[in-house]
Amino acid sequence: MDKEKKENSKKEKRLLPGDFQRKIKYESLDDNPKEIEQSRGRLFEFPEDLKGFQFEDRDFLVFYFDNKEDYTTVLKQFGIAKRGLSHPELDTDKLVKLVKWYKAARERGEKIEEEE
Amino acid sequence: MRRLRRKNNNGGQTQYLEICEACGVCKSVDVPPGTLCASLSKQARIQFEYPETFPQNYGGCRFSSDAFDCAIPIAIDSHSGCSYNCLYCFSNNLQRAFDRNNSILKIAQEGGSLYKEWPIKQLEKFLAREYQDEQSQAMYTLMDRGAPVQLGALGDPFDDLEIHSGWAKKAIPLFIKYKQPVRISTKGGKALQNKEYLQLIEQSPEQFWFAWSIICNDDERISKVDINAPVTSERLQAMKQLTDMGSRCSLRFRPFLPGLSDSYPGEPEAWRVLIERAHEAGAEAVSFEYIFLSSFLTPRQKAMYQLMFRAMDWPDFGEWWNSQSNPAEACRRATRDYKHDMTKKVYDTCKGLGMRFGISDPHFKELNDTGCCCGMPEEDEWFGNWSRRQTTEVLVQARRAYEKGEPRLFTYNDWRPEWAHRVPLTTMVSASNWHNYRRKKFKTFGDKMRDIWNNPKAARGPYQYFGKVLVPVGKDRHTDDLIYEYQPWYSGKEKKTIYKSLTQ
Repeated sequence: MDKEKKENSKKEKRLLPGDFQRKIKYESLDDNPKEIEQSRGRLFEFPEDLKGFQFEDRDFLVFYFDNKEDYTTVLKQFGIAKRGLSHPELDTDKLVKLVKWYKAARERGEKIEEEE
Repeated sequence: MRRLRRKNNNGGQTQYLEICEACGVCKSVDVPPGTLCASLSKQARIQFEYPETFPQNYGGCRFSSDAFDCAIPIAIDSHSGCSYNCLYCFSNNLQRAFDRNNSILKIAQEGGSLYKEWPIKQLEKFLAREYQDEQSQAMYTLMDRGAPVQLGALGDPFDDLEIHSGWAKKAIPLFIKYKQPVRISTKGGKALQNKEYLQLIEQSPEQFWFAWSIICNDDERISKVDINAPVTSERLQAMKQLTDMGSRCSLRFRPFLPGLSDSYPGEPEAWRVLIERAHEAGAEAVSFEYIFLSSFLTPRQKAMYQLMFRAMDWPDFGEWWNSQSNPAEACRRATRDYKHDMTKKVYDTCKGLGMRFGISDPHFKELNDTGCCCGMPEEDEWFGNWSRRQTTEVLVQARRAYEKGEPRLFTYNDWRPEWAHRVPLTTMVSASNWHNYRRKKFKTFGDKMRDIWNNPKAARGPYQYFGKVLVPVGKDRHTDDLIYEYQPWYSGKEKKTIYKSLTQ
């Protein structure tokens, strides 16, 4: 008898329709865990004042220029038109080439204007 | 139309030819113009003759199709129609209107009664939890937790049909016997000042909540739109008697009609005076909503709207209102920009008087004090157990969290109402035709609600319907349902779009 009782106690209790009914919740909302999948670019287009601007999920740098002239030179060099937001297609290759060229030139011992 | 009797042949028929021409229903069934147009019956002094007892074949209990954002989804009606014939009545948009339903028209043509009654025995069986069908079982899951039901969802439960049949005299003791809280929506100032009814209610007054529908402060003006209903002062008198007795009352200030509800010559602040009068009569809350106009009108409804616009002293109101509204909406509601100032004034007045503010208008619904737009409190022995599983509660909780500085995200499972996934859609909403019925036969109302939750373009989805304050911010990876967050309204917001046009 004791064994049977022990075995029965291990069994999961079967829920009857009335039990399900008692489990239904109407008195409050839930706060289920959520994992947001951003569907930007596919389904929605969020105006800035609705959602704010979302940066792409890539590393980025921000430069501050000391004077307007330098700023304009760089904009022209990289063909950046929409300054308020960002370059629509970031020209990373061009920038990386420039940096590599600068680095190589220094290694070759070439004189660079700003170092004079 | 043998059962229709003209009480006074004083030429009423010819007075309304202009409007009768707009309809054509009377002509099609070969009765004098104006006979079937119930809205004109008072003015033409024609009344329907009621049979001694109404046919006992009306199904008076259903889940409300407004359950998407309604805290009291169980709706009861004693009769299949209403004798008041208010010009704006939304039940004219439904299949129960005789000009939308050939079978009702046929019965009337054959000399039968236009009105049917829900047998009182069925009410008792329902309250005794004796029904085994899926819909009743789903309702019991709410009622067993003390949820109130609404009496008078599509017609007034204390109208002339009630005075004729006395259905409520048998129903009130049953509600008391089964301890069922009931929210009654009414204009029945006449019946509810009757001692017989008051003595019945007096047995347990606190379990009845009377939502008094009054939209104009002036007796003469209100009788131009609430054609056969008691006037404002009668309703307020009845409200006072009931609150003195211990019943709960609120002012149902809807539909708000410009030119009648806000102001008119001689009363620049009619809206304020009405709220103050209701407060004096014991109303503890206001439920506010601007008019919405149906976009699919029958000729009879067009005639009724014409009468209403005339009473508002704004003959081309319909054209103007529709030009302001989202054309995708079946119920045209204009914009938040238009409604903002008046809504704010009503809100501030309620706060000043210490009344709860409820708003059933989807525009500014976030201003509700609780998730129940009837204005019921959250903590209350009889009326605190309204269902939280609906989108008004979602919107109110989202707004509160935002104001606390802890914005909260919502997905469908956060408010999924279990009852809705047990109830077939076609038992709540007309499928219109056999093809649609077969197509939607296995769809539940819950499926429908999940569909519109996940469609930001749907006119009844939370994004469009609430005027873009619940904004979809992404998809939940677990369920693929949209996730929404609250973002406050500002003027001009409704013109913004977040979804890409299909034409792009």
